[in-house]
Amino acid sequence: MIHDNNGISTSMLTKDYNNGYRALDSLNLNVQPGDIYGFLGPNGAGKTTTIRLLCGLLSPSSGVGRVGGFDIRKENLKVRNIIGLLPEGSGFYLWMNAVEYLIYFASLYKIDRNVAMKRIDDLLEKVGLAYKQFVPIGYYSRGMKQRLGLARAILNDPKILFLDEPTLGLDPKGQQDILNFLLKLNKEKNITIFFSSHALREVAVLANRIGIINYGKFVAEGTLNELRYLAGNVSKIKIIISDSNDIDVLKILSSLPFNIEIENYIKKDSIDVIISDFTDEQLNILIDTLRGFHININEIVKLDMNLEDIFFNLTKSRKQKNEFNEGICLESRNINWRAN
Amino acid sequence: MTTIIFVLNATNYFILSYAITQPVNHDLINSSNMLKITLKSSSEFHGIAGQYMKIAGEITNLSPNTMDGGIAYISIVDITEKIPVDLEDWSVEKGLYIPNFLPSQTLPLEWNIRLVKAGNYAVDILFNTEGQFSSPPVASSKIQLEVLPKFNLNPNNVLPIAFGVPGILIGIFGVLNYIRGRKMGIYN
Amino acid sequence: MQIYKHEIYGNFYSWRGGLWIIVASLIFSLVAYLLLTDKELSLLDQGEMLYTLGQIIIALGIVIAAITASSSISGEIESGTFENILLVPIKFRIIAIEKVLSVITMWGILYLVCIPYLIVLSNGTNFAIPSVFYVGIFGTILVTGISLLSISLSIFLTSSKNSVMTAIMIVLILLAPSLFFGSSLKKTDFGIILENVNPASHAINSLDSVLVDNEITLKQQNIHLAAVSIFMVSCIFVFLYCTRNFELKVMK
Repeated sequence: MIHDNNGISTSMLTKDYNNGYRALDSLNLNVQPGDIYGFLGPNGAGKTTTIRLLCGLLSPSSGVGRVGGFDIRKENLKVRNIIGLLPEGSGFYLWMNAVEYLIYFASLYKIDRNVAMKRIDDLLEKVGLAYKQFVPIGYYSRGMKQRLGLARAILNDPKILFLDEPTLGLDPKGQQDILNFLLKLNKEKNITIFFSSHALREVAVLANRIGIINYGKFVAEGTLNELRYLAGNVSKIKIIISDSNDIDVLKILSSLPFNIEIENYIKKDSIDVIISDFTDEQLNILIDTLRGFHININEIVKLDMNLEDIFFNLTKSRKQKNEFNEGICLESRNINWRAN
Repeated sequence: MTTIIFVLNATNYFILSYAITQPVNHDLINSSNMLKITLKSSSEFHGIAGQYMKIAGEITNLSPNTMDGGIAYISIVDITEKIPVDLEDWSVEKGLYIPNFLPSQTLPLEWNIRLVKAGNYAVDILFNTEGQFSSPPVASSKIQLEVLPKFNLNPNNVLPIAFGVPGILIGIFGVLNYIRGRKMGIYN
Repeated sequence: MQIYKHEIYGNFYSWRGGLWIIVASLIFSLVAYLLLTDKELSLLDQGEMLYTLGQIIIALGIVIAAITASSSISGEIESGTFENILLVPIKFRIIAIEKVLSVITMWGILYLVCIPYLIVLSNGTNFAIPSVFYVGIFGTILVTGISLLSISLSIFLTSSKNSVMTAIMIVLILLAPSLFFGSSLKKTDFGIILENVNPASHAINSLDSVLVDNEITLKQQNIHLAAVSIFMVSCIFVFLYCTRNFELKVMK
C-alpha cells in the first residue's frame, strides 16, 4: 500500500453493477508518485469503470482503493480535492465562454477569485485557447473543447490527473499537442498522470508504466521492456524486397520451409517480409533464395516487439486486434506459408 | 296585518311568508281567471351589457276568496337566437314564493336583473299556482328588452399591464442578451 | 451557492428560463384582457376572474417547475456535464438542493410577474391582498413539492425524456380534477376522495373559497394549507431518499 500523497493503489478492487455484470474483478494496481501510467485495454475492458472508481464517481462493490493517500470510499471528498479528471466525451455548457466556464469551476473548488483569474489566464494560454476565451463554447471545435476540458481538469492544481481517452477523436496534430502538454505537465509539476486508452501508439509514447486490463481483469503491469519480457520478448526481422514483373515472388516465398508474414504488399513495387522469432539459418535461406531469383533486397530491419504484439501475446486474443488498429492504421495480411 | 320575511335558502329562492291573521279558505278557484299580473316597469327597455335593471310588477287576487299561492318568476326569451335564456348569470333571485292570496289582495313583485349579453329579448312575469295542474300559468304582458353590447377597450386600465409587463420583460432579457453577446463577440 | 447562481444565469443567458417567463406573461396578459373585456366573461364577478387567473398562475408555475426540475440532472447527465460537477468537493445532496432552489427562484420571478395582473384584476375590490397572498403561498408550496419530486425523478430515471414525461404525467394527474372534471363529477364519492387527497385541488379550492366565497382568513383555509404542506413534506422525504448517494453509471 502506498501512503505517499500522489500515488494510487488498489487491492482487490471489484465493481459489480446491479444487473450482475462484473465490470472490474479484483484489481490490484500500483501507481508510483510522478508516474505517467497508461491503462490499456479494449472497449469494455473496464478502463472507465476503474477511473470512475478511483475518482469516487462509483463506489466499489469490494476491495480497497487509495488515491493520494485517501480512501476512495471513506474519504471521497478529500480525494476529489486533489484530483483532476478529463472524462471521455466530456460535455460543456455551450452558452458559457471559456473564462466563465473556468471561473465557475474555480468557484466550485473554492479557489480565491484573484488566484483563479491568474490561473485561468495562464491555463488558457498554455492550452492555446487564449485567443478564443470569450467565444461561446458552443462554437468550439472538438479539439478546442478537449483542451478546455484539460484546462478545467488541472484548474485546481491537482496532484493526480486522470484522463479517459484524452486524444479520442482528435486529429494527429491535436493528439500530439495533448501528449506534449501532458509530458510537460508531468515534468514541471511532478503530477501523477493516470490515463486510459486503447490507442497503443499514444500509450507507448507517453507512459513510463503500463497496465493492461481485459474483461475487467488485470493482465499485466510494468514498463514497456518489462512487459516485453513478460510477453516472451519475441523479436522480429523485416526484409523489404522488390516485387517483380516476371516472376511470382509470392509463390517463391511460399516455398520457404518456415513461417513468414507478408505486409504492405504493393504489386510490382515492394513487399515486406516478416519473420518472427527468426534464426540466422532462416535468414540465410531467405536471402539465398531471393538472390537465386535475382530479387532485390531493399532493406533489412530488426523489430522489437511492439505494444500491440505485447498486448496480444499477454491476452492471447487475436480477434481483438481490429479494435486496436483504429489509431494505428495497420493494414496487414497475415499469411502463414509452410513448405510441403 | 302582514309581515314579509325574506329567507335565502340553498336553492336561492326567496320565500315570502306572511303572518296570517285570518283563516285560509281553501276553495279551489281557477287561478288564470282570478289572478292578474300587472307590469309596473316600462314595456320597453334599452340597456347596455353589464347594466342592472329592475323588473317590477304586481299580482292581484281578483276574487272575493282566498286563493292558493304559488311561484312567481320571470322568463326571458332571446328573440334573435330564438331560445330561452338561462337566468343563472342574469338574476340572483329566480322565483318568489307566495303561500296564498287574501281576497282582493295585491302583492308587489320585483326582480333585479343584470343585462349579461347583448341582444333582443322578451321578458314576462309568470305565476304558477300550486296544485292547479290543469290551469295555465298567469302571465303579464311582455317587456321588450334591447341590450346593446358593451365596448370597453381598457377596462380597469388593464392595457398598460397587458402590454407593459411582457414588453418590459422582453426588453430586459433582450438587453442582457445583447450585452452578453457583445462581450462574447457574437454581435460585433 | 455557486451551482444555484450558475443555474439561474444558465436559465436566463441561454434564454430557456427567460422564454418561459415571457410566454407566461403573455398568457397572463391575454387572460387578464379577455377576462376584463370579453362580452361574456367580463360580466363575471371580479372574484371569479381572480380565481380563474389564480388557477392559471399556479398551474403554469407547477408545469414550468416540473419540466425544469425533471430535466435538471438527467439533462446534465445526457449532455456529459454532470460528471464534471460530481468531481468537485461538494456533496451530491447539496448540488441537488441548489438545483431545487433555482427552480423555486424561477417560480419566484413568475410570481412577481403575475402580481400586477392580480392587482389590476382586483381593482375596486378588497381582493388584491388576499389574491396575491394566497396565490403566493399555495403556489410556492406546490412548486417546492413538485420541484423536489421532479428532481428525484431526474435522479432515479437519469433519462431526460423519461423524467420529463413522467413529471408531466404527475402534474396532469394533479391538475386533472380541477381543470377537467365537471362539478357533477366532483360531487361523486370518487370525486370527493380525489379532491381531498389532491394537493392541487386543495390549492384551487382554497382560491375559490377565498376569492369567490370571501373566506379570506388563514383559519378558514387551514385544511387546504395543511393538505398542501403534507404533500410538500412527503416530497421532501422522497428527495432525501433519492439524494443519499449517487453513482454515475458507465454509459458504454
